[in-house]
Amino acid sequence: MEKFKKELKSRVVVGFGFSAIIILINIFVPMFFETSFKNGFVVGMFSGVAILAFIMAIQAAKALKDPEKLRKLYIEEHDERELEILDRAMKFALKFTLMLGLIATSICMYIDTKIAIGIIGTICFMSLLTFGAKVYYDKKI
Amino acid sequence: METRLPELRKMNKLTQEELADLVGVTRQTISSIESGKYIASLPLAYKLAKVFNLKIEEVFELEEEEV
Repeated sequence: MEKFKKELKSRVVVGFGFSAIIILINIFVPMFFETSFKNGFVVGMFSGVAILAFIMAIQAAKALKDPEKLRKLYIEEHDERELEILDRAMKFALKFTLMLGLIATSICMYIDTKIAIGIIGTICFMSLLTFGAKVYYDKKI
Repeated sequence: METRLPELRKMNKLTQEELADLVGVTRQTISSIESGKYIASLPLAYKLAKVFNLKIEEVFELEEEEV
């Protein structure tokens, strides 16, 4: 439980810190840079992540103050069935994404080669990452 | 995998929620183990057996085709 408490403390620091940085960027970027769709998109994307990080930080801070909430959060995050469900869902999503990527590459090759190369590059990167992770866990477990 | 978990839980007058709390999992996990949808890991099976002061093989039993 002490390890989990440490993890929650770092979640609070990272969550609030990241949110604060994004708020500052939201305030200062429009002052010094021209407002464009591209800038707005990037800032908006990071703002979405910051909102999630902020919610998680609040949840962690509340759990750190209340032992009952801490215990419930620990069970929620460490429940072996939930972890297995997540694991299976991610495996399925990865296989599905790779298959869909291959189909999308085949279609895009006839429409826009640059997009097709972008997708196949992503597929290769994901496959390499999966292979790398497999090699790592082969040695670790 | 067959389990005597529902029987043992009722004998000890425990709800799924209470048993889940004792072994540190969610109620849904206990429910899934009882219905045979999910097979508990070895540490969890050990914890469950310990709650009832029994051995793992007295709580869980492999079916013929699993042996």
